[in-house]
Amino acid sequence: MRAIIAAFALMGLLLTPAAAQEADLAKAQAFVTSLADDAIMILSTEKSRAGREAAFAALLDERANMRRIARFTLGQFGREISKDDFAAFEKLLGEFIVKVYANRLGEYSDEKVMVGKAQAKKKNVIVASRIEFANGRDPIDIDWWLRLEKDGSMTLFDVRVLGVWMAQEQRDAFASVLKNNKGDINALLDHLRKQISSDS
Amino acid sequence: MFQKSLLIVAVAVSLSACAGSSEVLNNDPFERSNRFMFKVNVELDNYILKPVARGFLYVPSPVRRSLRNFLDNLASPVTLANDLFQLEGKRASTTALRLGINSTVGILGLFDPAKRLGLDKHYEDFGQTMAVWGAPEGPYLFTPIYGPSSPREFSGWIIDWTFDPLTHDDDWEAEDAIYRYAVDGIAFRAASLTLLDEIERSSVDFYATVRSLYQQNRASQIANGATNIDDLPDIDALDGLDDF
Repeated sequence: MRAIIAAFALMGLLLTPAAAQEADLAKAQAFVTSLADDAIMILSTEKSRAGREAAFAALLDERANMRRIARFTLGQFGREISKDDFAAFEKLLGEFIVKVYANRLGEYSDEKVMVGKAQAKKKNVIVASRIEFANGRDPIDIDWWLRLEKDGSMTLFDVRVLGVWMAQEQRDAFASVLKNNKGDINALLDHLRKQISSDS
Repeated sequence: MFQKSLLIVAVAVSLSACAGSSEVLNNDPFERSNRFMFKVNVELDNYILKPVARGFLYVPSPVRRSLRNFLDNLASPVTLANDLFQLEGKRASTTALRLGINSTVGILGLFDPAKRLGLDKHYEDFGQTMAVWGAPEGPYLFTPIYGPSSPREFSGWIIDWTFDPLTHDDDWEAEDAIYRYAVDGIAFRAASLTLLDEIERSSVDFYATVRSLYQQNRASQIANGATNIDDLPDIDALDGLDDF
């Protein structure tokens, strides 16, 4: 009898992590489905640029961990600057992302998101998806990099479109600006401010 | 011409050899000259390619789509050979079937009936084959007209050209090849007008952004679009920096 209990206990031990991970994968897929639905809803209902940007800002605030994205995109320079500079950067980055992607996404319409398989490693989950268009244009594959937070919630970290990770792209561009300005964070902050305030 | 290609390959390989000597950011030891070439290309793009590409958009979209299909079909033999070099049996059979179906039922490749049968197109080139074989990429090179590249990609493109059946076709003149690449370039540019303009407008450093887009996209092509979670940068350390 004791052997049977021990065997069950052992099975339980073996099964729990796998089961937890499977639940995470399903949770990640659900997260992407609802995030994509929200984004498509914004694109189809918010026709004004300001309305669209405000809605995306709220979505980003709710679903992404901006602190982590800011740390990542700033790379090694993030460790060398003051807390205030970092806070200023984090705030500008949020506004910049909304501006850039609300416009880049504005091109697309009449789309449907098909969420595909998910893979997990430690606290990272990657969810594959395919965007299909009603007008017959070629579908676009998008990967979503999500992160499992300490409290069990999930947040968005990066998005890969046509083979390009967006946060990585920004990190490369930011590093270049900093390198060409002798590591002066103010140069980068100015660049971001300029982009945010440009109207076209 | 062939001797000239060999010379370019030799120069490219020697460039990649000297690049390995010091630590450089973004695999771009020739950033100064690359930035200069990039500037030249942006001007060429603004004054020549972009206006032509805008004009091309007046061509009715079904015609443009047929042209795209036709050019892709012409590129299929090269893709097929590289599928085989990479021992990608399933992708090779997809390319072979596409070539057979689209060249016949698709009327010389003007239409893409193979797609409706679930045979989606993909591209392969010898640069990707060399990457799969383990050849180093070499430094980032921004080349005039051709754009972002690397010694591996650029020499691969020349090697593709040497075994392209069209190169050995007696009816296929040098002008035909020039028209083919020119039309391909214009069609490609026209398809990316809005997106590239938007990327240029929203970049803090357009040169660095294009470099990142190219390098990431190229790596993705080599991996046939697959995402491997083990290849991602480790971001765990970011959480330790302050309270999340």
